[in-house]
Amino acid sequence: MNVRFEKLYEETKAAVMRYVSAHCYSITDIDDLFQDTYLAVYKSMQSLTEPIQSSEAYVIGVAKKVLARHYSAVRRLRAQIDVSLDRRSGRGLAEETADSVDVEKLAGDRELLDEIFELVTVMPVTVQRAFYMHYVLEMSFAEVGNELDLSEAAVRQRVARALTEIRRLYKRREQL
Amino acid sequence: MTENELIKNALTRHAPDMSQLTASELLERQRDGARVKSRRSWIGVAAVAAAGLVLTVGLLIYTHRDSRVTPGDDVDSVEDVIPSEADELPPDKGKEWVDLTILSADELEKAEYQCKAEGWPEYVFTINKHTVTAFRYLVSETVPTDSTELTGNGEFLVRKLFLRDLTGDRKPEIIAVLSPEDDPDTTLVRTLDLSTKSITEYNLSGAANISAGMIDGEVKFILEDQETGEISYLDAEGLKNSDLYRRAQKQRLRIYLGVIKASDSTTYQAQYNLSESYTVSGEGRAVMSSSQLYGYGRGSDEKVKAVLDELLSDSVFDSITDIQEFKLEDYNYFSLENENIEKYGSVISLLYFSDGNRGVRVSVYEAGVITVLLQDTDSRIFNYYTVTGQSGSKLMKRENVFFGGTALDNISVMKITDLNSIPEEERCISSDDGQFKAYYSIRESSREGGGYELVFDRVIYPEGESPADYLMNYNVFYDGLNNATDSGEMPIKEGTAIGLTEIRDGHSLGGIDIAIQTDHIVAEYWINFNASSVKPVYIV
Repeated sequence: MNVRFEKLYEETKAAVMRYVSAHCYSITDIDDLFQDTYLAVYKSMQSLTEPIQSSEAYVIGVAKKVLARHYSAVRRLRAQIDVSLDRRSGRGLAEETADSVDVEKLAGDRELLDEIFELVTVMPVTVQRAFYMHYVLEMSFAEVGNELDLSEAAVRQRVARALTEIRRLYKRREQL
Repeated sequence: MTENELIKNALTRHAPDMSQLTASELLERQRDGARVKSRRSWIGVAAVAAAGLVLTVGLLIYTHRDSRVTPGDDVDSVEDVIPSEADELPPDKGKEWVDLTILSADELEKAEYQCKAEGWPEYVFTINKHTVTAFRYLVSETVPTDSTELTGNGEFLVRKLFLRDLTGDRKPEIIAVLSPEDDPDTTLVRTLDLSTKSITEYNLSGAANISAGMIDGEVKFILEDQETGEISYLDAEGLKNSDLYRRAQKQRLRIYLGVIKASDSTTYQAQYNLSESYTVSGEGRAVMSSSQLYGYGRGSDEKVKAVLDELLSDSVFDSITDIQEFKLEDYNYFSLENENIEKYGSVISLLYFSDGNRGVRVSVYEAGVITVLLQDTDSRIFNYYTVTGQSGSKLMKRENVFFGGTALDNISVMKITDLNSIPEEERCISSDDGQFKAYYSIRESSREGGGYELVFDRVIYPEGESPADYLMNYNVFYDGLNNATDSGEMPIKEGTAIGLTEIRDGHSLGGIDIAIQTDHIVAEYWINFNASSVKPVYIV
């Protein structure tokens, strides 16, 4: 069983991660959705008698249902976007973008990492998806655009805007 | 470390790339209860700690859910979407918004859910894959016709759908985030107040991207400034008062046409955008005269004037310069319900002024003929459209008015001298028996003040009669039927000229009223210089 599952997992995990990233409502859900998908797959494989003909189609199909369940009404009700406006209250104070900020210095700053994460998670979901797919899954803008049904230019534009926000954050950080 | 790596580190601190795990590691994490949990409380199911239990419960829920809410299935009750188990209901049920977006628009591609909302059994709404037959979706009530003034007539992608909980003490309301199917990059938000069936649309195209989300239990509008990328979270009141909303209004003035709408014989409504309108009352035709709509006529109804002053002084109208921004086909309908329209053939509606230089006016010049004019403040006509076959209390659909979406780039100014191009027999004042005929033409005036003049080129009298027998009283009108700018009495003979110094090319609503009374003729002619009706009109 584990061998079958491992084989299927290795064959499909990248596609599932892409799918989940492109269809989540918040990047904070991605890990849960990914795990839930494979939990469901693992469980269902135990009762499968027929071989799976198309691994990716099968797992993506499960992922779709996991998303449906995850984002069902009550769950979404409770999953209210717990966004505090205070998080962004400092925005706009630093007018300059921080092209010259020393990223190396900031790399170990866990608070900054948290702040960046928080900042990204309150951005529009399309931006979140694009960010995750580009920076974490290391997909090209064209690939992201293809997944999100956006032009490459549109993805670049969205990411660039968000990056400006993040750079403001660096700048503030550096000024502290 | 590069910036890319920094951002990746930031993102993966709380949203790790689980695909980096091997299958064994993934299963191991479950087994050890080390599953990376969402920070949200509802996910904090205690049973997560026990992997087997999670699997069992999870699968049970999964299977149960799957059997009920699979894309493509119909759902008989909202309870199929919102489980009724007490432990799953929010503690303050009745006062919260519920997000009914089951899946993203992409996910909904093959899905069709029909939900009968709990507590609103009379309302059934349908999310039909990409479409919300929305705002047409209420089966028990007819959607207000005003809804046709909303963006587009087509189908929409459903981005998000929220409803205010049914049993609360707040008004029931639905908020939908939609994208026109033919323009998926545009999002707009519509709210539907189910208690009044009124729909409000927020389309900030050109200024901001708009969405909506649940924040602290309330649905907030999320605006992303298209210029700066700034994001703000606003309630409806805040949205309406925001600079972005204002800016969007300016950007989208093409659909904010003002309408003076006759809803009955004495009440008229000035409406200049989708959500704001003014209702004024008056009596009969007086209220609707063009001069009053312009606000400088005699005997103006002060209310009308006040409304128009407010419309025209609104800062929304202060900076549009490109007439191509107008999109007349977005104008939806107007109602012609005043019997006086047919009787008087008068101007009945002022539609819209943009930057003070250009505007749109709907006019009715003849019974059953509706003319839509694009004019500037000098009443020069840029273009006009005429619709025939409609009259009186007909609801004029936009396609009737703007048939074929007539292009606005075909702009030309009509010349008064164009009147000379019509056949001479039609440029003629004559007695019923045809024995008296006075042919006229328009030519440039050599008088001080310039302009034009109407000259009688050739006059035929009945035998034995002379010019002295054919005195005419004339009135020259500049802006319609009310304000004669020149009047006089003179015999009709060759060379007689009536000065038209105030009338310029492209003027609408100008004309000459000529009354003749002899032993044989009692007649009155209205020679209309309106570009849409260059023919003289016999009135009496």
